[in-house]
Order: sequence, then C-alpha cells, then structure tokens
Amino acid sequence: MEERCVTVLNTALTEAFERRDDVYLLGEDVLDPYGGAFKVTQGLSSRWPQRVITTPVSEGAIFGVAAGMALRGWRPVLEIMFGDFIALGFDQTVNGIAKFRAMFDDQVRVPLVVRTPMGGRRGYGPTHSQTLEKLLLGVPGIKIVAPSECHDIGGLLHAAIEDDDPVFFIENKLMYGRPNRRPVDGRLGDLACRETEGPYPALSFSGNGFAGGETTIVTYGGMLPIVLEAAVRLIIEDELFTEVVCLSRLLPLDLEPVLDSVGRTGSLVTVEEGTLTGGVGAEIAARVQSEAWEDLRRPVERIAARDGIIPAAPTLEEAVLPGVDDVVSAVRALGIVRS
Amino acid sequence: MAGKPQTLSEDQAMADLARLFSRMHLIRRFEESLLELFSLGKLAGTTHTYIGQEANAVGVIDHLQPGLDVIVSNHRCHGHYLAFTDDVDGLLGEVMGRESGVCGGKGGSQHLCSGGFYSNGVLGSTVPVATGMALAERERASGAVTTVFIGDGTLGQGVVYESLNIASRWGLPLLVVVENNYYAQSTPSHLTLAGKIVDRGAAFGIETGELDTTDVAEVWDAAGEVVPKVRSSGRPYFLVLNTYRYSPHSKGDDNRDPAEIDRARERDPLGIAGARLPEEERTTIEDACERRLMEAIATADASPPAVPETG
Amino acid sequence: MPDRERVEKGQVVCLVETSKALLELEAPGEGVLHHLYAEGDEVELGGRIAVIAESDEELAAAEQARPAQAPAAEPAGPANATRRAVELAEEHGIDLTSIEKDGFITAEDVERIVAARAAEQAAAAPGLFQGISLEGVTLPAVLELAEDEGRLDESFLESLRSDPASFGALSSDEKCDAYRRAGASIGEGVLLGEGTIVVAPRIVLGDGVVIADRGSVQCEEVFAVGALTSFGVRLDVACRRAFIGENGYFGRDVRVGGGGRRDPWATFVAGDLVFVGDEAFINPCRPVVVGREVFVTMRSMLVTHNIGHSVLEGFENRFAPIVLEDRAQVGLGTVVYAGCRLGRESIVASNSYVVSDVPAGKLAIGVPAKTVGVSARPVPHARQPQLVRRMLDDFRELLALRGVDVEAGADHSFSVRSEGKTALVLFVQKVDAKFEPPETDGEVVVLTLNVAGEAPAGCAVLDVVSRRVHGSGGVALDSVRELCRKRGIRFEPGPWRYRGGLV
Repeated sequence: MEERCVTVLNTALTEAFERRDDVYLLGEDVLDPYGGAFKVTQGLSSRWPQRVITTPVSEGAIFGVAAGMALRGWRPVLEIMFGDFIALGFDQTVNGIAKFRAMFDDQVRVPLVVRTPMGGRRGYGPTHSQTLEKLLLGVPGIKIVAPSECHDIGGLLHAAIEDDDPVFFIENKLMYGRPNRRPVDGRLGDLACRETEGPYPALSFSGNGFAGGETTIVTYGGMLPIVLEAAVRLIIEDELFTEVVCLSRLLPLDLEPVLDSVGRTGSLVTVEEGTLTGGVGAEIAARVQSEAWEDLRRPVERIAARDGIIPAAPTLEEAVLPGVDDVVSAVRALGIVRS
Repeated sequence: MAGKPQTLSEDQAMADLARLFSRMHLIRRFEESLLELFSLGKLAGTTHTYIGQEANAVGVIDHLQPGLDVIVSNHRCHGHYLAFTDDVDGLLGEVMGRESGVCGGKGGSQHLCSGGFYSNGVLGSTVPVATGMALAERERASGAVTTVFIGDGTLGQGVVYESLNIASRWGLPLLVVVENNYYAQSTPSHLTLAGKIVDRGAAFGIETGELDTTDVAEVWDAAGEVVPKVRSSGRPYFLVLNTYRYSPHSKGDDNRDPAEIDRARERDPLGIAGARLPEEERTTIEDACERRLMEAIATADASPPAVPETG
Repeated sequence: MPDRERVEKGQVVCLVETSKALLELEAPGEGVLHHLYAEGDEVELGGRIAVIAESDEELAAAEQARPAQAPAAEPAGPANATRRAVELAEEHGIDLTSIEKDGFITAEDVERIVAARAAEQAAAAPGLFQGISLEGVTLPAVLELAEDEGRLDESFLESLRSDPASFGALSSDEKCDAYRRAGASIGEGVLLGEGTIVVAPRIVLGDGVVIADRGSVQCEEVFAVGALTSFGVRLDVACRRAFIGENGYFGRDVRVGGGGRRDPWATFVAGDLVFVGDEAFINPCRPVVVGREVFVTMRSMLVTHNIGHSVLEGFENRFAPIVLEDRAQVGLGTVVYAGCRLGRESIVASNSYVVSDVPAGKLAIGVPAKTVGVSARPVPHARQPQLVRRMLDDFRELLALRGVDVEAGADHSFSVRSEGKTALVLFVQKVDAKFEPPETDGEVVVLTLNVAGEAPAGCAVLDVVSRRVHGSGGVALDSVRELCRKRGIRFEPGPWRYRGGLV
C-alpha cells in the first residue's frame, strides 16, 4: 500500500531529526496538535520541543533568522506555508542567503532548506495558488529541488538537508494527498522507467523501452501525473510514443537527461504549472537549442499556465492552468503529415 | 573585558584611554586615507566612511570578544570591522580590489566577513540575520553576544520590527545598537521617523538605553554594563547612540549645512579623548598609526588585483 | 480508512482537505466503516459519504443503501493496448490477452503476429524465398514469368558455353537475333556491348535493356531483367538465378558472384528502379533480396557468407540471406554482413559495417553500424511550396548555365525557348480539372502538390507528392522529369528513361 506523499515527508523529517542534532524546523503553525497547515510537521514538536519553533507571521524576518542560524552552523528547515509567500522573503533570499558564500569568498556556508508548497487546482485564488519557483531560477547561489510523486521524496529531502548550500524544496499542494508511486524494477505500470544517479535524480519514462519517440516531454513536481496521463493517452489513442523526463533538481539545471532523451527523439516539449514568460521551460529551451541544435528537428514547445492571475472559480482556474488535454493536443500538433 | 562592569579607574585610565584613542585614531586616519585614495583615482566603487562616529564602535566593541561574540554590521562598517579585527591589510586590500582582501575582492567595502564579523549592504537585511545568529548562539549555550549595528535610516525597514518582536518573544542574546547620526543618506531623520527611536525597542518589551555623547569613555562605561547584561540574561537590549558623521554619506554627496558640521566637529571624539592624553603619548600613537597606514597602503598598492575564476 | 475496516470511536477515519487546511474527521462511534461512494465519485454538498455499521444487520442495510453504480464502460481491450491495436486485432481475429509484453501493445505488435502467421504459411511452401519474410519488399514483375519463358535451345546453349569469345565478338544486333532465334525473350531496342555475353538456360531481357561492353553473365538457371534497366561496362554476374526489375541502373565493374555462387540458394533479386553503383560487389551465396528504389552505392558489398576457420575451433561459419527492403540505402564502401535486413527507407551511412538489422526509417552509421537517428525528417506542409519553388529556381539556373534560353516569370515560374516554341514551367499548389493552364505556343509543365479529382487538360502535371505524371508533353516535360529524377523524385507511371532534351 503506497503511502501518501505528505506521510513520506513527515517520516523523512522525523528521520532527519533523529539522525542529526543540528536540524531545526521553523515555521508558522507548525506545532502539535495542528502540525502545519498541510500536516507535514505533525508529531515533530512533541518529540523535539526545543528544535521545532513556531514563528510569528513574519516571513521576511524568518528567512533571515534561518539564514543567521545556518551561518552559525545549524541546519534549519524553514517551512513557508504557501509558496506564494516566498515573495516576502525575497530580499533575504536574493541579497543574503544566495550571496553569503560567494561574496564572503567561501568563508561561510548556508546549509538551510526552505520547504514550501506551490500549485493550484484547489480554488484558493490568485495569491494562494501560484507556482513561483521559476522566479528563483534566476538567483545564482541557491539550489531548487522539486520532488514528484514518483521520486524517492524522503531521499530528496534528506539530500537537501545534507546539502551544505541553501536548497529551496518545492512541494505541491495536490501532491500531498496523492500516493508516492515509486517505479518497481524499472517499471511504473506499463511504462519503463529509469532513474539517474546522485542526490537529486531525474526520472525518465517511456512506453517503448526508450527506443525513441515523437518527442521528449520534460517536466517536474506536481505536473508529472498530468504529463504521464497525457503520455499514456497519446500511446493508446494515437500510437504516439514520447519520452517523459521528470527532473528533481531545477537549479543548477539538470540538463543531461534531457539532452540524452532529445538525442533519441529530436524534439522537446516543456511542461510546467508556472506562468509561461520567463518560466523554467524558457531556460530549458534556451539551453537545449544551444547544446542540441543538430539533434532538434523542430523548435522547442513550452506548455505553461497563461500569463495572468490564477482565478478562484474552478472553471476559470481550469482554463488558465495546463491540463492533460493541453499536453495531448500540443504533442499531436507537433506531429507532421509526411508526404 | 567580560565579567563585572568596569569604570575607568585612575590606574587603568591612561592605559585604557590610550588604547581606545589609538583605535579611534586608526579608524579616523584609515577612512580619511580611503577618501584620499578615491580622489587619487586608486579606488573604484563606493564607500561609506565612519568619520565622526569612532567613539561608538570603539566604546562598544572593546567589550566584545573576537572568537566568541558575533557582530553584524551595515554598509558603514569599517569602523566596526577595524575595532573588532584590527585587520587593516585585509580591509584595505578588499576595498582596493586585491586578492589579499578579506573577501578576495568579492565583497568590497560593504560586504565583509572575518571570523564572527559579518556585514551586508541592504539596510535592515542584517537584523533578521543577526537575530538568527543570536538564536544559534543561544542553542549552542556559548554565552556569545550578537551585536547588530544599524542607523536611524534603517528604522524604516519592516523586518527590523519583526526581528525585535522575535528577539524579545524568544529571549535572544541580541544587542541592537542604533547609531543615530540624524541623517539617512541625504534625508534628515525628522522627515521620516515618527515617534521616538528609543520607544521602538520598548514597544516590544526590550530594555533600552540612550546616550548623547561623543566621549568614548562614556560610551565605554555604558557598554560595560549593557554587554555583560545581555550575556548573562540572554535577553535583547536596544541601545541608541546619538552621534554625528563628518564625512558625506558616501563620497561627495553632502548637502548639509556646513555650519552644522563645523559645530559638530567641536565635539570631535578624537579631540576629546586626545586632550586627556599627554602630548608625547598622543603624538607617538599618531605617528605609529601613520607609519602603519603608509605601509599598508604601499603593500596593498603593490599586491596583485583579484583574478577572476575560470570555468 | 479503507472500506469495511473496523473503527473505534474518536479514531480518525477521514481527512478533509479545505482551503488552507487539512481537517480530520473522527468516528462518532464504534463499528464497521462502510463507504457509500467509490474513489473519484463526486458527492453533493451535504451528502452522506460513509456509515459506521454497529451490527451485521446495519451493515447489510448499508449495502442496500449504496447508490447505484454506473455500469462500467465496455472495456475496449487490455488497458495497455492502443486503439489501433485493438482494431487490428479484431480485424484479424487475434486475442490481445495472449500477447505478453512489458509496456504497450501496438498495431506493430499485432502486425508482427499477422506477418508471422503469413510467414509460417509461406515457409510451409517450398520456393526461392523459403524462410525469408518479404514484408517491405516489392518484387520485380520478372519473377512472375512462366517457367519456360525465354528458355534457350539446348544446342545453342552448348555452343555459347564452349565458345563464348566468338559469340561475344558479334555485333549487338547479331547477338540479339541469335538469342531470339534460340528461344530467349529479348525485347525491342536491347543493346549488348562489345564482347558482352549472357549464358543461361533462360534469358529474358525487357525492352531497352542495355548491357555495356565486356559484360559477362553466367547463370545456371535464369537471367531475367525488366525494361530499360542498364548495366555499365565489365558487368560480371555469376550465380544460379538473377531477377532484376525495370528501370534499374548498374554502374561499371559491378560484380554479382563470389563464393557459393552455384549453391542452390544463390539467387539475386532486385526490384524496380534499383541503383547499384560502380564496383559494387554482391555475393548471393544465399539469396540477396533487394526491393524497389534501393541504393547500393559505389564499392559497397553485400556478402551472404563469411570465410575463416573451423567452426569446431570456435570460429564463425555464417551463411544467411540479406534483405534490403524498399527504398533502403547502403552508403559508399559500406559492407552488409550475412543475415542482415535493412528496413524500409533505412539508410546506412558510408564506410559502415552492418552486422545487425537496421529498423525501417532509421539512420545507422559506424563500424559496427548503430542506429543514430531517423533517415528522413518530416517536412511540414507549410514548407512544401517553398521547397518546390526553390527547385524551380534551381532548374532555371541550371538550364541557363547550360546555355538554354530561359526567362524567369512570376512566382518562380520560367519560360524556355526551344525549337522556336516557348514552353512554360510553373508551380501551382493545387490543381483540379477546372485549372486553366497559361497561354503559350509550346508545352505547359505544371508542378503541383495535389491533384484534386481529375487532372486538368492542356498541360502536363507533375504531382511531386504522390509522384505521378498526368497528361503528356514533349522535350520540356521530359527535361523537367529528368531534373526531378536527379533529385530522387521518380514518377509513375514507369518505366521511363530520359532520351535527351534540354539537360
């Protein structure tokens, strides 16, 4: 019986607290019995009251507090309740956390983890539904890691905590409730699955044993189940095979598995829940066209949320966010009639 | 200097005063030399000199222990840096963009780091970080005091108040020193600050103190009580030091009334402290300082500029 | 909590996710939890989603209370079978559940089963191609000739064998006549070069076949060639049977033979429009089956057996047929090893060594050859007109450089003055019977991407997409057709050979 992703996270945090004395957790509403807005931290404050700290509603300050703790040798995990609120911590992130190591010439490290859930489809409205990690993509000096429901989520969180550099760990609201479906013996259902090595592996999926296909689809985080559903539908309905690459590390950008797949398919579609302009897909597209020009036989396509707000009404929200149909029709549109 | 509060006794007086004067003089001459180097075209970028405020840095930091205590400073950090580390070569090299600079030329004038000394250039940014450091030291039970130096201008930033709230609520050994020099860049603080500065600490249940002096002995006495209190109680303290800077905000950007500046110079901390020392001792200190600076400038001038990393 | 789980009072049985928070629902009492809805169902606000039954009777009542399930949709087949696979399987009466496969069952999988069945039936019957699947290979029409077609009179054959030199010294017409009288099937306009001789019990040469000087063909059973196929000087064929289709081109010093050429399986078959380059070497110790429009370029080799040391000492003794499916291409100096099959439209790049099958549509390169990509890149519809216009410009420029009197016209068209008449060559994206060709006193040649219904009258139409010629023309049409042929666009109907014109 697969565990829900939120349970996997809770277990991983517990293990981290057991394994290391220097791990602290700061955030709003994280104490028991509430255990966090999404219940990720349940049970922690009861066992480690000294190391689980509830903060006032002061995102700006607590980003800095976490930075100060990290500079002085601790490993704080900062929970930001909604990913939209990282905007309040931008100065501390951009002008502090991301820079201390480099501008102080490697005299210090900032081994903190900021955990926060992004994502819509809950009807929470424009300021509680965004996917903003793309804004962090342009900040040199931090790492961005986004687990998906098929990744070893606990492993990713452990790696982020062990990382001596600051890591933004991007969770997804819908993903919390979904089961953590790990591939077994290189397969996930009817799809073949491969996983790269290292602390932040990428997963690749194929319906034809990686013999190539119409296109590569690269995505991450909460969009994986949507992309996989689209990929299977394309096989069943159109016999169109694609390779799906699901990254976990977005910054520094893990380009190798994407290039490897594009070498076989000659085509790339990027899929993300954030808005289109300046998104993760834009960066991937720029790099792939630069490094794999000879392999590409058509321009890179990007699928993302429309540039604009994420409205609250479900019908309006659905129209803005990319769904299975969007991915399916985009891949079909790539297919070109041969004479 | 940890332990019981000390006041200057007659026996200690001269020795301590000489030490404090020497440190202040070093800062004054260092900063003046920087401005000269700028006008000679030997420095690039910008700097924010500490001229006129030397008594604050020296008076407070003499009670802090390198290797234990932590200092977080702001853009106007040279005075604090030299008072804590005495690292003339590292600072000069850094400001002159040399490899030998304390941050390899990467941070420059505003972004310094050495041991427990940190500075950053975005106003207010430093206060939450210092708060987090105080928390770190509390958890470690090291007994360290974390001191963050801010100015009157910084009091406009919201995170300052978030941090005061947290430091008080959590009980953190954080010393907030507000150097009120009445101007934030070009803006007099009476145009931007509502209420009283000292009330801001009190609003969060933090013990406060206020001084209106350029006499290093008075600052030293007050700090001699405050620092040990923070160390032993583990609670924050909000210390307001009313002061004045003679130099422009950075370079050449000074619209203040020259008469006002002249009036302030009558209370020059170097003058006050220097007048108490025998003429000969004072001259010896000044000459030694001059020689030291000449050597440092020559060394820095001759050393290679920072080399960009390849790859 | 799962369905039918026993729960205690106060136990958390349900998690409700609302805006900003996750709430826990506790069981109001003890009993067996009974779900009223299945996962994914939508429930109206206020609706009851589960009951806790305190006794067996209550549980039974709860079962009754369960809202009617919608009847499950008809399963279309196993979940991992594509729609096309399901359709094909139904058509051919194949049970998809019998296919065990990791991954997805595609139409290709079903087709493979269909082909395997066909091959089984083919294998049961004896024949030239026993055990060889002919899928993807379009065989030449000469294979279907009657058993005795072109059979030579015995004594003539004897005399040929005993004194080939003197026969070879005769003129082409003399040789052709002699063959005809002896029973061979020699078409019109066949040309046999100086010293060229064909020795086989059955000889069939279609109209316009050319075998250039000093050619030597020795077949133990039959040598049959379709119309308009030509062979360059010093052709050297030695095998049991050779069947070569129409409109083929063989360069000079082509050799079909080598070890095992008299073996019972020594058959060389090539489809229509085949290109075999200078000095190519084909060794049909086992059958070499080549489809239509295949390129076997200069100095490449197809070898159906290896030589070496004893198999008892662990060395390889390999004897196996080679199949090149339609439109496959073998690069310069490339070697295809015994037993390999090149799929339809595959390409093996020059200087490679093929030791395993190359899948259809793939590009392989290297020693040993490895698939590195696809052999053709799809061309967007929108780009096709641009490509044709560019071709027209190239044609015009080539003609101009050859001293032909050409003039550019509107939209990449051009006119050609020859023999006192002005021919027009133009591109019209789509034509139908209503299309009116422009006025001129000479030919009108129209290149198009699509002929809708009947072709228009009063012009010759070259449909470059379906590769068909409609209508008739003369020198201009032939010239444009030849220019197209040089770019790999070969039109039906064939066979057709350029007899001269503007290029």
